[in-house]
Amino acid sequence: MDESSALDHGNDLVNSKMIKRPVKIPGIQTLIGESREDDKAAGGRTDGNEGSFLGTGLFLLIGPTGSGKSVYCRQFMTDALVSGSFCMFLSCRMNNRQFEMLFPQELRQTLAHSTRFINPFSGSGISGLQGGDMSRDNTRLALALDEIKKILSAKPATPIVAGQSNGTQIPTYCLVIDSLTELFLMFDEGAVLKFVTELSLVLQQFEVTTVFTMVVSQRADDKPSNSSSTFSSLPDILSSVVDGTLEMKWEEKTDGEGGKKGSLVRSIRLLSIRGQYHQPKWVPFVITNTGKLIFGDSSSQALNCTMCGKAIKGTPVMDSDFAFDSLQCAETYKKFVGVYGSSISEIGGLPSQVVNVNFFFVDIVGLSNPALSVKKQIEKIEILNRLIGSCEAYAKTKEKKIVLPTGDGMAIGFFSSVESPLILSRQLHSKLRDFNRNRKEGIEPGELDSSSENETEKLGMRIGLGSGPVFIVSDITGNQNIWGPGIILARRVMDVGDNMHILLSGNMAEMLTSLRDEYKTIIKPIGKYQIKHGQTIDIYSAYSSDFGNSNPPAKMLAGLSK
Amino acid sequence: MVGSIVFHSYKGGTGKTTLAVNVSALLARAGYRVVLLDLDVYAPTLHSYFEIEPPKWINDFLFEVAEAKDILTDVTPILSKTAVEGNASHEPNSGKLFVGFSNPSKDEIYKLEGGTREKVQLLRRFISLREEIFSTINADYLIIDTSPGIRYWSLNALAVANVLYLALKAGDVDIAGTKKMAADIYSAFSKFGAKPFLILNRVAGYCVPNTLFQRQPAPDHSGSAAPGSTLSMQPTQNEMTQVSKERSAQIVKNIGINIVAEMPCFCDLMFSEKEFLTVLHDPEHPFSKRIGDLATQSQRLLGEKS
Repeated sequence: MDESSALDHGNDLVNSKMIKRPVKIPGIQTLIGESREDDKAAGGRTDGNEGSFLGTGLFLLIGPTGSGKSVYCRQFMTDALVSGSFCMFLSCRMNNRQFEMLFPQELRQTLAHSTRFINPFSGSGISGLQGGDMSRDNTRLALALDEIKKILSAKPATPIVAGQSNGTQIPTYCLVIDSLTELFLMFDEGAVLKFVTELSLVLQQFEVTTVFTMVVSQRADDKPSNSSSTFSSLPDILSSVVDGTLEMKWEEKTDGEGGKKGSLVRSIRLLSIRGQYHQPKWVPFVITNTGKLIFGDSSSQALNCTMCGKAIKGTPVMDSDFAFDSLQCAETYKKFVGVYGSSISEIGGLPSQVVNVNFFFVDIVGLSNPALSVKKQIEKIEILNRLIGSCEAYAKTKEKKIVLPTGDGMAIGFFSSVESPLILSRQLHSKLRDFNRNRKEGIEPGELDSSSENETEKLGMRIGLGSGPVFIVSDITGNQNIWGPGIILARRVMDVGDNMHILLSGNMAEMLTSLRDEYKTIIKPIGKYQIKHGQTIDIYSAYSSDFGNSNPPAKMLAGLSK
Repeated sequence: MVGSIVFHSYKGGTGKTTLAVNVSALLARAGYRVVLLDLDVYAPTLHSYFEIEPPKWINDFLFEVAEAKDILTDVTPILSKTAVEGNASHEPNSGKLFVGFSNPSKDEIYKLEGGTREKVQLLRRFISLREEIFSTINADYLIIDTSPGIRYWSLNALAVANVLYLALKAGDVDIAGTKKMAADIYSAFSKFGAKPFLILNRVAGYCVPNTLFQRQPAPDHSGSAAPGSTLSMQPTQNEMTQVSKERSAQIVKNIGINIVAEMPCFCDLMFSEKEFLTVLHDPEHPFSKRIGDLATQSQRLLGEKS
């Protein structure tokens, strides 16, 4: 990767002021693609906007019990969390712990600062609600609505800059209400409809991708139940406030084709979408043993073998999140895992699961100083690269790592050791001191000589360390790339710091101090700091007499903590 | 379909290519459709062995400029000709031997070491080649010759094979290296169905070094040995066999993989200018007998063709 593309690449990934990817509902491209292929094949008209539908907005997901609605919602939230979005989940039948248990272990530490669970009947779900009469108290809905508005209205620590040239803001929130059926059971129908209507206006204003679920019984003729029950007309009423309606169904296999006899085959279709013409078509999907949804079937050939890449005809052989077209491919894949390790992205390109990575994030302080020429800026970046490259913790480690240049610094992800980022930080500080000593005598760490000449010669940096889950994928050039809350957290921690700070996220600090006693003497808590969406993170600082900066960061001192 | 066999080794010079070619030839002569692939992409030799410059190479298939049928050369006529010359049995049968050759050009070899994205595409093409060999070419056996050591394409070949033949000489360096490979690599494959076996190559039992000759008194009428006289007496076959058995047992215990064949050190083959299809050229040679046993074992391990 050349420097210019590396700079763009790094900026695209990790700059918190940059593009945020919209959260799409799972499988939307398959659902849209299926209907459009059929349309074209039948010679039907299309709206000509094949590329314009983002899969964002408000969606109503209907289907009978057991059709997979809750699993769909979980997939939606998992995708959103990994993409860095803030997720809200409203349910009447769960508590917070049960909500956390929906997610894989590697995401659970993200939940604390990236999600909000709301149960209108739980004292812990909404502040101010303390039990009381749990009968149809419609005020609970109003309080729930207020809670959601409060979350969406909280000012972020750094502004979200327009991510597209037309100035459209890309949403970073998602909401799941699972399910509206329970709300209708617990509250007056009118109150629930009012709640949903008012909520939809708020959600549209903040561009929150939303899924509401609702139980609708299944009919053999694929039409929603037409009984005289009030509930039967609710999807039609609700369709006026949502952007699209998804429908799920399940049926039991009566023959051996496409699965074992007696097994359930689940399908989903996009029943309606506002402003877009399409023909709904059922798309089968499977739920893997890890709870992931995979869409597609043999006729659509949407599912490809992870190993050989071929379209899977018939029932896929599932293993973890991966689909194979034969047992032989599945076994071949496992053999490669056995040789290359569970992160099979070693051989590149094959999908990886979420992995926990320990990040070292550094940027050069003062690089954007107008007194600094471009040549000087480049020189400083090269010096930083050279210093890091000469550290043993970087150069001589056999640990798998990934390096992402960011323009004015870099992020390095260490896959195995939680200590590696801190060890690298200390070694880098030692080398930096030697470097700066050669430039100017008598400058204390953390101080910047006021003379512009000296300032341009010295190199200052700040470091943020954090640990968390990320996805490892291959980018368009075939290079490995990472994305997820783990790297975002490390960046946000670094942003709090000043020159010569080595700041750590709370989770990384706790892991290190529980690992060795010596870390307890050099890693100190310095307080909480509010970042975005009302999230607060614990910040620690690593310092001693020969590395780090013992002064609290200016941002925290200035009372920007909220 | 019957299955695939790969010949691999820790070090070079263990005789993989010779073994792979001769086993393939015997299976083809036995009536099977055999495909032999030269996946020693870093130092390909089969094109030299058969003296063939194919129109398309395995590399062309991997880079999607050729189909599977384009890269396989039918060398069955060569087998027939060699068998006739060697007075081997020449009963006509439906057996065939197709060979896929790797391009020895430096540029083509470099291309195979592409970036991660290219490597994945190439790996997937290789897997699809295996599929096509069995489904379209209707091969009974796929035999793969590989590069020694831990190389990307050797591991790919090992991953797709049902039976792994790991050739080694009975020396401590080979044994130590093979033991390491067994722990690091072969175990990962055997865990998911691959069957690994050792082939001990160039073991004792055919020619005996003179250091093993025993000094015997020269017969004279006095019954005592004339000073300085020596008569050679080879160790008995039983003694040699015993030594060999003990050594083999040690190797199996050390590496943890069973031995499927022991190939003695055949000096005439070692020192010949060119070994070429000895199983057909000289079917009575002890080497050919051993290869025959190995081919029979291979059929048993993979299951007979129905």
